[in-house]
Amino acid sequence: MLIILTLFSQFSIAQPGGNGDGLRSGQCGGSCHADASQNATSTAEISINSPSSTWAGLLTSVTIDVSGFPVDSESRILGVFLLIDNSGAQDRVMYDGWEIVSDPNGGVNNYVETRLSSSTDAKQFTWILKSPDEPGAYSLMGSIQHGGEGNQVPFHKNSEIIYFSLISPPDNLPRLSENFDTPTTRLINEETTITLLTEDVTQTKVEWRLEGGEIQVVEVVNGTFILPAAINPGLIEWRATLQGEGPNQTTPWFQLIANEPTFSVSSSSMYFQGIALLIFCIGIVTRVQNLKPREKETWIQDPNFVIPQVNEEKSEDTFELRGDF
Amino acid sequence: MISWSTLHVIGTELVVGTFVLSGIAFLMLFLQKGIHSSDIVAHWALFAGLMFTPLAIFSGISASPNGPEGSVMLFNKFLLSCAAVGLSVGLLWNRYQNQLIHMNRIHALFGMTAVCLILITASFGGMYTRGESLTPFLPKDVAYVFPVWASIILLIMGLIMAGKSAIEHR
Repeated sequence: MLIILTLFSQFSIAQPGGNGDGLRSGQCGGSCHADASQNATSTAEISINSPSSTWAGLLTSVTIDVSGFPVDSESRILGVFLLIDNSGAQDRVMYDGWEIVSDPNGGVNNYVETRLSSSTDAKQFTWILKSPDEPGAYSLMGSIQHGGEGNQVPFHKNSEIIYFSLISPPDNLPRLSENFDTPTTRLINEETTITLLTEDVTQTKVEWRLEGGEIQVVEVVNGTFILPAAINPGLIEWRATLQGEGPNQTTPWFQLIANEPTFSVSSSSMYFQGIALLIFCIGIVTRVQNLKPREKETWIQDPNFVIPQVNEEKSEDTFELRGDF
Repeated sequence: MISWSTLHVIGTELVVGTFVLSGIAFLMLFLQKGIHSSDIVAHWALFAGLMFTPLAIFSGISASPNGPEGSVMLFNKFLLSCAAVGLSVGLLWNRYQNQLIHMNRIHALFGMTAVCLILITASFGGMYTRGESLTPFLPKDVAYVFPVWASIILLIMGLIMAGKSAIEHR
């Protein structure tokens, strides 16, 4: 069975199951996908978008758009990097002082993977970042990697590097507090209550939208608002417009991913079931093997069976005859 | 220093290696070829695999971030390992009690089943860590969590069968 399964497997020089999300430098992914001797350039289009200028030390969003994902990718797993440049090493965004608040999968990684459906060849990936405290010029870059058909080489492509400047915010700029933690995931069928922690804010307006849907305004009471429950797994985005003495400030679109409840079972129940199964298997093996072989019973129960006669006398030793029979 | 995940890899390599060796020998027993040597290899390799299995199970539990209680695949791995351990213990006990048990093809079939369970467990591990497996066709998002009463019934049935076999053997 093992040999058959091995023979019928399709072999790949890459890792068709992906590597999982993580904090990785470009070279880490590139060791397979970007090595000139064993990779190819992806035909997909990749672009990175960010505000041309933003406040230093505050939140901003960066979007990587991927389109034209090749149809011959067998696993349809797409890996996306957010990097500071194409140096290959020490190019994770944290080296420049960026802090990842949320990644497209609801984590805090600069490398994420997703599986595109067969009917989709484009996807947008949004990171929410806390920008470095030091004003100045900074750069960011996106990079993608994916597999091909069968045992084709892995594919890789970088976006253009974008440059933008960070400006010192005015002291009275309405802003979210540094202590405010943005929720990134939730369960379906559960409303989400969020309490904003702000500085220099007199009035707050919060909007939310489904992915690609219309913008809805939600009521904010004492900095607290409620986002409606999601019926299905998916994405909801929200943002706050903060008003105060300084210039109005609109936060980036925060993403809130709704997931189905994860599998959960109590430890004691699991161990008890395992031990019960173990004892049951011991019992069934010992029991079945202690049963007498069927062959010895079937002929006795056969009504047509006649004990063979030897020299016209019935044998006294039926067990010998059974063996001969 | 060694991490739990590395220890798990070492443990599983030992378990899979010894169980596969045992499985080949059980196949030979089933085919009634090289019976004497196959008998020795099958049972000693099974014994060795059984010795390493607890190491593989508990290092795997320690290596997973949320434990098998939070993942369908790890939960199934744990149950399959327990079933394989149960079959292996039963096989070795039968062999200890009956020196000619290896002539019985059902014995060999049980041996191959135990090996098969260990290989499925290993393939689930590959799917969990790398997203790749030799058995992509097997369902990996279905878990059968028994209520406590069902586990108690299973346990009692196992104890009755094992006890009855021990009494009959005497």
